[in-house]
Amino acid sequence: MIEVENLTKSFRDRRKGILHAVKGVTFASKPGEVFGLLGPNGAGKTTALRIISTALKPTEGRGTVMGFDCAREPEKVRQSIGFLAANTGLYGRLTPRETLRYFGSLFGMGHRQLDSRIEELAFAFAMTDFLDRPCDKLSTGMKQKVNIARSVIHSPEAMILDEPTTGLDVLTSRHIVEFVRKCRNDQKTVLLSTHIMSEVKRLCDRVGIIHQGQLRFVGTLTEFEAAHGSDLEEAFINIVGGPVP
Amino acid sequence: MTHGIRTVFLKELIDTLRDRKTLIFMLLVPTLLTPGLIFGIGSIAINILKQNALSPVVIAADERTQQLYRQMVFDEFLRSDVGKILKYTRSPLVAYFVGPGALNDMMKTVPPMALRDPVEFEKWTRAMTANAKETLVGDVQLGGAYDTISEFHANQSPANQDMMNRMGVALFDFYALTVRGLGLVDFVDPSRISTDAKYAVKDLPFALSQQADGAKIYGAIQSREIQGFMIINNDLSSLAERKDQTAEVIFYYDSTIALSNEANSRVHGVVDRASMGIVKERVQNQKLTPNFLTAVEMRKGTNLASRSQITMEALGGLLPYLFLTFAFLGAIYPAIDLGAGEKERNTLETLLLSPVTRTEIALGKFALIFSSSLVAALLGVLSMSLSFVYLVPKSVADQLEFHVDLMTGISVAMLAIPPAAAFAGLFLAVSIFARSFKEAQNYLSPMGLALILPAMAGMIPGLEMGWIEAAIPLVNVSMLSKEFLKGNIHWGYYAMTFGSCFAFAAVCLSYCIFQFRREEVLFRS
Ligand SMILES: Nc1ncnc2c1ncn2[C@@H]1O[C@H](COP(=O)(O)OP(=O)(O)OP(=O)(O)O)[C@@H](O)[C@H]1O
Ligand SMILES: [Mg+2]
Repeated sequence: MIEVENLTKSFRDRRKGILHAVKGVTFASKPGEVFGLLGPNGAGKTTALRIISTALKPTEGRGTVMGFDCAREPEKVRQSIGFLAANTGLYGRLTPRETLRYFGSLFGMGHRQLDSRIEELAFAFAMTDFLDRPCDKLSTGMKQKVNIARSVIHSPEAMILDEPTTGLDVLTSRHIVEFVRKCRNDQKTVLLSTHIMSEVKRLCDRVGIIHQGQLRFVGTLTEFEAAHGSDLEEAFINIVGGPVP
Repeated sequence: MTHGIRTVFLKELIDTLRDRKTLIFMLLVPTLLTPGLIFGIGSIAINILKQNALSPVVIAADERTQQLYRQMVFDEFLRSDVGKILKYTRSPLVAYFVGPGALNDMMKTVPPMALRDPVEFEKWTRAMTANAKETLVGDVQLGGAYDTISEFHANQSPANQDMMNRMGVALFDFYALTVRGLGLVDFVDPSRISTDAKYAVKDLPFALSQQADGAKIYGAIQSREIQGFMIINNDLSSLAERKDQTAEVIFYYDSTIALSNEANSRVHGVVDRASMGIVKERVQNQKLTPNFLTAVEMRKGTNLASRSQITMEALGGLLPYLFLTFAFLGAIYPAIDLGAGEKERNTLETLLLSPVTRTEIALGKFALIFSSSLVAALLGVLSMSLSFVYLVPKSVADQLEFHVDLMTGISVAMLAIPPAAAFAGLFLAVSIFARSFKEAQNYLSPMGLALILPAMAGMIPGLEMGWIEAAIPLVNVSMLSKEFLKGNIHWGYYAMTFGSCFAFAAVCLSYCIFQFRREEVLFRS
């Protein structure tokens, strides 16, 4: 369960003065549901997700994950979320196994528990072949798998994915798609951001359309189609280009 | 708390051990630098010794000047102790010794008895050979057995030859010395100088223009064909009797050319010695004692410092300089990698989103950089100590006599800890502040230059250790280790040194933690 209420984040920008990257955003994402934050470049998606993942403190409003306040109980929130961004890197000289062990250990997992979890993940993501090769030597697809496995090493209740498929080819992004579907089946809460309309259609149950830091629409896909017609692309452009409600 | 630190530390350890660049600077450079330097400097020194001490300088002089010079040298030689011996033995005497000064040193120690009696002299040389290191004379071979150096060489045992080669021993045979003129000079006739004049020489004196073409000579010096030009204007014979006369020697040279300068000092030496010998004879002819020439003399051997202290005063600053450098090298690459590297690789965000505290992350990273720095410094010191024991030629090592007891050794080795902590803290802070690998490198590389100053503190003459120096990080390490090596143990300064470096590291560490807590650290762009 992820809930945000009146979330606002302002940056002090030397040239533009105060910049509201996120402004009064409110939405909720429930277990077993995929919530898609859809918006163009610079809309404030990353900022919103970073506040929820505790990397940033909100200027106003609050976010909670599984009932823990993101600003006041960041350790508990971090334990409950898995975070993955498209540009997340790996330590090139470590092997996938070592990477998983490192993060598992950071999350306080014991040796034996970790070993069996790594076996489990290696099997689930078909990583057994390259589990002991340095990450530097892996293909982008392999790295993506390692990154996904890394983000769920501690079996989080909620997943936060920032434009997870950006820069990936069709085959590689399928890993992500399958992963998101599996999370939904496992009754996890999934919050993802994207600027690709079709991805929302393919993955999401509910959608929030964000533009210039503000939510312009929140609802299920069916509600969205009912309100704005079945051509999602067109509807999106209308909303983004239209006046703030 | 410790779990997080350990986790971060162990991961960084694996990561660092697989990084070739860090490994080179942490392990390879400190281990190989000192032996390399010793070999390098050793062979350069040997080369210089060979070139300068063995190769004669070439001097142009007309026939008459050459004769006069030889006469002067020969007279002077006959007046010398060696010459006196040769007069008795009438055979080529072959000796080898390290450096040109050793001959004089040797002669000073010859007992008067031995000087008068060749048999006594031979006995004395044998005895000297036994404790050769005292006077730097490795061996003195006397008698007619060997006519030339190569013959002498060929008759040495392989071990002896090896030793001579290793020590870079300079070989002199007294015949060559006398014939070439003790100052190792080869003469050429001015008319043989082939070089065309490149420079016009306006103000060479009249005398020169009588002997040869001045411009031609200057050109010959410039083209390295000759190293100087000598003119002796007066008859040198029976100068001892002609007691109100002063003979004149003119030597033209160019002080900006090394060999020409060398030629000048050799000629100067010969002329000075010859002049002094003549003066002594004159004094004796006047029925005066040689004391007439020395009214007051400084007594030798009044330096109260021990040899160990003298050595350490000269060399003690080198050790901290090297180990500060190694500590620096050992810290810089892991620091860049562990701080800015996380941003460069886009791994920082996931790390910061783990439940370990920022303090634990900073401490874990600090611990790794600190260890790397410490290992580099200790390896460097170890390698240096072993190199001194096993690589420095014994003849040189014996000169550098010093005594360091175990306790002092350990205390000094432990002085690698404070700078390692200071570097680790500072570099990590800078590296975390930097936006990228490159930026971190740009900030940290100039610090290598800035480091030279405190590192050299131990080598600055006249700078004495006090509480203020003990409070300045790095400067204190440099100065204190030298003091300890000299035998001046001061635990107060020792504690102060640790305290100030640790305090400095702690300030840097708090800054690291502060940086890690800032939102901007992630998103500064
Ligand atoms: N640390 C920061 N300081 C100042 N301004 C920032 C900072 N981070 C983001 N911004 C600004 O806030 C706005 C929203 O940025 P954000 O990265 O959240 O957008 P986004 O929706 O993720 O865009 P993209 O599709 O490009 O990833 C942008 O105008 C950006 O320039
Ligand atoms: Mg973004």
